[in-house]
Amino acid sequence: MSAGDLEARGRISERLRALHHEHGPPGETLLEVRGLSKSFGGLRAVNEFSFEVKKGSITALIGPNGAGKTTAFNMVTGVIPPTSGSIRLEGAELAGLRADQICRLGVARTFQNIRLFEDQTVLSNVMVGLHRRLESGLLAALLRTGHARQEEAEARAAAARYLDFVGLLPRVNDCAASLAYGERRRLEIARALASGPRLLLLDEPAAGMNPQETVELMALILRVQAAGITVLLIEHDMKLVMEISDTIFVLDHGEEIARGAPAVVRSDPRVIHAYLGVPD
Amino acid sequence: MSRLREWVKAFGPADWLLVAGGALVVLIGLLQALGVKALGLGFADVRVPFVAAIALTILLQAIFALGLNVVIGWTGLLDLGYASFIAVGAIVVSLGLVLTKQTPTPYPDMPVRQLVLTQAQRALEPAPGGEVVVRERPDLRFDVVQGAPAVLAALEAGDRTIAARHVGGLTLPVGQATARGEQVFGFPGGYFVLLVLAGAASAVMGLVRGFPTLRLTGDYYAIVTLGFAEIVWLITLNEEWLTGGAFGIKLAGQYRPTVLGAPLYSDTWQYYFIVCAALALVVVAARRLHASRVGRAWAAIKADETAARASGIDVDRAKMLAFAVSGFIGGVGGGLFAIKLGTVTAKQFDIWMSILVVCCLVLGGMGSIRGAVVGAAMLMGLGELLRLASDEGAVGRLAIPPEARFLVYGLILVLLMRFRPQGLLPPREEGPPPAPDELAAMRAAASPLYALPPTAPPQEGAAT
Repeated sequence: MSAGDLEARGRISERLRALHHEHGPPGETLLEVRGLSKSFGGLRAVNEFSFEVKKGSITALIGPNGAGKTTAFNMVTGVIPPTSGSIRLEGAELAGLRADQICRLGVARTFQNIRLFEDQTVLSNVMVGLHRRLESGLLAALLRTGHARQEEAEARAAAARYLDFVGLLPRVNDCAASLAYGERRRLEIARALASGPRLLLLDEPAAGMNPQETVELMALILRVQAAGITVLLIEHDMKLVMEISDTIFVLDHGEEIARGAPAVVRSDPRVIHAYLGVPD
Repeated sequence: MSRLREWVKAFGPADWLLVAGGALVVLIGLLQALGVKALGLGFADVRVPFVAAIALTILLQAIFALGLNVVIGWTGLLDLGYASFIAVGAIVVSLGLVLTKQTPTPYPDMPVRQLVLTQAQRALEPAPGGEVVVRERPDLRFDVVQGAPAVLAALEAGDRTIAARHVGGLTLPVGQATARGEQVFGFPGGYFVLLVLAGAASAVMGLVRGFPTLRLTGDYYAIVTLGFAEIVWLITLNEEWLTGGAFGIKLAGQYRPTVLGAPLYSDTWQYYFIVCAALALVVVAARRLHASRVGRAWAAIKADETAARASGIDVDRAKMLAFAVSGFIGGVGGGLFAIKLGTVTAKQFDIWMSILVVCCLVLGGMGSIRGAVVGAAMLMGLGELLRLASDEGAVGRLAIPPEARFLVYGLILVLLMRFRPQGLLPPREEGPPPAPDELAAMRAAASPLYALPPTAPPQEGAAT
């Protein structure tokens, strides 16, 4: 990285921090998870994991590979059902609901291995994200009613808005498969945002990104937060985690080993051991 | 008007080809309506009924292909049993026509259209097929003649009772030798009501098959559709009280519906244009669905079911909708097909029919509306040409057995997989990047309904 890049990075960080604090401290609990467990056969992937996400905050879930972070994500978003435990979004129980029902309640996510609709355009990808907020069904589409046409025009405008938000508007007509890696991540975030979530889950959003892209991603996440959307993320990039998270939960072998503000977690000996191993 | 001009301006060679094809199809219909039997084109005489029959085969196949495209091309589930939906549609329409026929009113002087001598057929000498005009009575025309010369003579004399008595010493119900135009379907437009019913029946069957298979994808789903089609096929073959078993349901003259003043036969211009209109409707419906919220949901499921669920799409519901829509189109297509077949028997709706529809989609390009139509035109057109070549002496000395068509189909598909796996006309998704002023307009048009901060803070890092 050149000196100029480093300088730019520093400047962004400053601005972002200002944005972050301007938004105010996190308030009440949005997501409350209690005793969440998942067994795959004899393997206990997640064991009695409890955590909560404050409204308006950025919360991070970290831990070594195989700690059960993604499994926890999958349970929160209904991709797999929990073996036991409760997941409450402002009092509404999510455990046992299907993924699309959970999305409709305002939880959107991205995936660790980016899952775009590859052969569709960038615009179509975001339009799919808008699905739950649109109403037109089969008959409206066949008859092309006035309402359906208006809704479609509004949806296109809205999709353009989300693409602009993540900086992909110029690529609106391109095929999703033709995007560069960082752009693919951002498109996935735009698609998730399009569903109008209260809580956005990002599964390793910075994985595979270069430092420049990571800085841009951080800016994007903070802007999402500034839009009033709570963020829960899994990430291995400690710089990103430490810089933007309000609260961090550390998972190892399916169990929580530490929680708290970045500064607290960073110096927790059990976290260091989990990542680096126990010194002999 | 300007919209039309812009639309035309965006035409590529393939679009012009489709427009030309459509014009040709309409022209054939008009010639048929005008009663032109043959056209001398200098190098060859074109027999209009023959060309119209090929066009009908293509049009019907295009309807089937578009129906199947909803499930295979858009939702991404391999359905190998589409013939069962067509069969159900055909059976519903023929049963409906048979059950709602009115009491025959004899018109002795009406030209006899078809002679149906079911029970006595085996006792008769084989008679020549094709069109026959009775000597000295050119108004009596037989398209299909199955009967002894004595019967023809009796008919010529206008005595049907005698005609029946003469057949191989058997006494036949006179009503079976029915004149064209004798019967009318229960009420005007009844055929179209039956078509909708046929579509509905197939749609319900789609739901019945779809519900237990919602969890299946890929090969597993394909195997279930294969098995289900076999079940429908066996039921059609064995439930004689309902479907007539191996003999099928015969749409004899008295069961033909009357549309625009004429009983519906496969060689009438009325039928030809009904099929044209049906295909046009299906194309319009497909285009609208594809560009709608529903179509996007299907495409999302095809691309990535997990991501589709996570994007708030009720995958089960969307799949059921696809099965119902696909079934409906197949049912209506089957109802149209029944008129062309004349006799609806199980053996027409075998695995090969299902495979052929899939082949049309593969050839044309999965998920592409234009591709489905072009695929149907090419495969069916080719099939008819090969059939022509297989007719003894029709084309030089080429004598190919009719089944050889499938060999040629296979060869085409192998070549296609090698050189153009996406099909001839794959769906076009990508567009040109928007111009700067278009971008500005898009930014300005952003809807306040979907609130987010108006614009991104200026990107200070260099854009990647």
